[in-house]
Amino acid sequence: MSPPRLVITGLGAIAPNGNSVAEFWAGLCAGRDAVGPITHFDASPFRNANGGEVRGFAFAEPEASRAKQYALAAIEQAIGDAHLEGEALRSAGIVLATNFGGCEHGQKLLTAQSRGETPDPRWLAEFDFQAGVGAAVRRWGLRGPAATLSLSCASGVAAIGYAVDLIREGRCERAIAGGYDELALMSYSGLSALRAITPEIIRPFDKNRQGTIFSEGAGIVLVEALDAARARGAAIHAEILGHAMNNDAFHMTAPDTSGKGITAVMQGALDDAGVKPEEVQHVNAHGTGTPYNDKIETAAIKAVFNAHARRLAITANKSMIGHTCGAAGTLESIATLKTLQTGIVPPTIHYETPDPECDLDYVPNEARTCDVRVALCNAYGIGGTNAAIVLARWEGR
Amino acid sequence: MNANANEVVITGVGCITPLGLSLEALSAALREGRSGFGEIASFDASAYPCRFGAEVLDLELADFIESSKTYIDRTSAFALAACASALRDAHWTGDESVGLLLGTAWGCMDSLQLFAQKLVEGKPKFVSPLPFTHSYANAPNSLASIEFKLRGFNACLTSGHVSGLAAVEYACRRVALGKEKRLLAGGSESLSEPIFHGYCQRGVLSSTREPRPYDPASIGMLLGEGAAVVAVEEAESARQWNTPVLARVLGWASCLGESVADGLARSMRDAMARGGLGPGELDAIVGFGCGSPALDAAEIEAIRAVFGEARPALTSVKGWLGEAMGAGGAISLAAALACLEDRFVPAALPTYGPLPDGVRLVAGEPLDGAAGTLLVNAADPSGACTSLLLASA
Repeated sequence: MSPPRLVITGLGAIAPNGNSVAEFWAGLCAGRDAVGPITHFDASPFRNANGGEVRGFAFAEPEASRAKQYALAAIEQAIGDAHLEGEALRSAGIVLATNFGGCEHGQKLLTAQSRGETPDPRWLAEFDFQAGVGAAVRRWGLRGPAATLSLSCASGVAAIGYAVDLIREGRCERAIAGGYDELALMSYSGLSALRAITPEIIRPFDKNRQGTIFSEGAGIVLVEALDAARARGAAIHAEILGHAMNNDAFHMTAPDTSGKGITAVMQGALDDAGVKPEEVQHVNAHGTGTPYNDKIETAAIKAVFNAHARRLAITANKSMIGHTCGAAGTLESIATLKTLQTGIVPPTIHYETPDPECDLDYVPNEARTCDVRVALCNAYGIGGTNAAIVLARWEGR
Repeated sequence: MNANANEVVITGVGCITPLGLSLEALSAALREGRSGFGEIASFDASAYPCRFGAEVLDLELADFIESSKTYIDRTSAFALAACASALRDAHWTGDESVGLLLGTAWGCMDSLQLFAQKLVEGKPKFVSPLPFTHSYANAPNSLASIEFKLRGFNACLTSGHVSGLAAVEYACRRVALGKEKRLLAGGSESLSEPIFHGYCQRGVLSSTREPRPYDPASIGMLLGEGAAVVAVEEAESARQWNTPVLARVLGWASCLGESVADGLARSMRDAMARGGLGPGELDAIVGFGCGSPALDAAEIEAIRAVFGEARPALTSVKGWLGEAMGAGGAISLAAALACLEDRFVPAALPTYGPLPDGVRLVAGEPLDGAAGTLLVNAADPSGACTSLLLASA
């Protein structure tokens, strides 16, 4: 029995540049910088007081975690986009991933604990990694397999990969999958202490890049077995060919300059997909704008694709929306999918000075139209976590 | 389900529990009926309505790993020690293709609390990066990957109390799909004060020193901590390498239901169906019974619904070890491996008043003799359930 083919039939996005997939995608194609002053907390003590905040979001529950509410809103969009209802919805699996969960509530909990005060019992519930899955299960009455992953900034791709494996094994016909995180003081102060944040603007792959910008949001996709999608007449956005996850097995924070782990994860995803490097036209890079990441990622792309690397259109969505942590891998997978659908590769903005160590085609500053049939999306995180996914244009058969 | 799926076996185990730092120690303690509970020592619990827990207090990480650590979170330390033991037990040491799947419900809370102290003091600019990086839920995975050079498939599950057993389930899935040959999988959790406080507030903890799994008169659970990690391997790979097999994994499932009872009934049925076993063919269940009246009643209801009059022996190790949250299901799995290895089923508790109806609870003395087929259950209060079906090698 051959494994089922897998497709994506629903999308949802809450991002710094818009609270729908349409706005998110339009913002990326326009090369619009969505980074601005952080308002959720006082960021003035830090190296950079700017971030990619979700704006204009209607919080239904003021006391609940922002992260969870972003996830629920993106799930609602994806379910609507996929026209999923009734038993097809109830039997769907759900796989969410987050770095920090309800981080702000976690900080309230720890602060109260340290001061000998009594924390509000809801804070622990909101901080819980499982809060997103739990709320979704209750809201939509889901009865399929459920899981939460936490794989630092590789989370958003890892969630899709987990859903892929569930469906491959026949555990469910479809699964809601994606990542989410909120920008909060506790995580931001830690990320700042790691000196990963740029003191100016984020400029991935540029010679003068100095670091990343942190952001928030949620991305959700509906992964579905092709046969199941066809049986219910669902519109198909793209095909998922394969995925991989691994660890650098090198150091908790220092980058592995050999790029061995990220080379292996890209190769692993291509192998899982049964795709040769030459068949790929586009890479949606992790591209954080840190001096090390972009150099090592470039070298790893060259190691995997050899001479073909120079023919790839590579982009870094983080140049416009910053690093949305647990959401990043899913939002960037959605952008990859839109590239496959439309042929438009969004630009890497703020690109001014070429770096001899980053000498590939990063689609600088202006979106470009290309014939993209197969694309790779990368996501890496603290602790050496890596994930990659291979998507293909849906050709109708 | 793919009928041609690769067979899955377990070829190694490492477990760090309040009842010892090896499977042998755990097995001996369970046979003797030794309790792992005491007054909580790792923080001052005297002001809480519950003062008891089952803690791992005697772990010297240097006995397990080669590198020396200037800083290590307890959740990570338990995971590293359990991984080291499982790797040695499976004779996988030095194999860089091995993957790693770990689960934890709360991650590394002690590190997060230490990190957050500067925020409490109003000095966000002076936080330390070290406890921050060690506070990530995937820090145990990452540290174990680094320590043992594990470059294979890697993920971290944070699905509450099912996390550890669900990590093993995912490992089985990857092997069955033909994607991996060898994976370490399990769970790790430490008993930290903010989480303990939260469970106290939820009113789910017993005020006594002895939680009473499945006892109709039980008033609550007690928390535990530790880690258990198993070596999950493709059967053919184990044959090729002549690795001794501790157990075959016949089935696995994670399900949600209308209730915990419904979700668990479905996950047990799915695991049994995948293994091709009828209700009368199961010898024993290592359940998640922890003394929580609601969860224990749900498990009994589900067992009655699935097994009816077949009545496999039922036990739980949480009367001795407490609810180790994200590690709990993995520790129950380690206990099930001890049952297979040492041919007994431990008692859930030494004494009971009235026994629960409709199940064959192992009470008082351990049940001697081989249990050839065992089902291991884990459940999260949110309703997520995981079951794993084992058979002797």
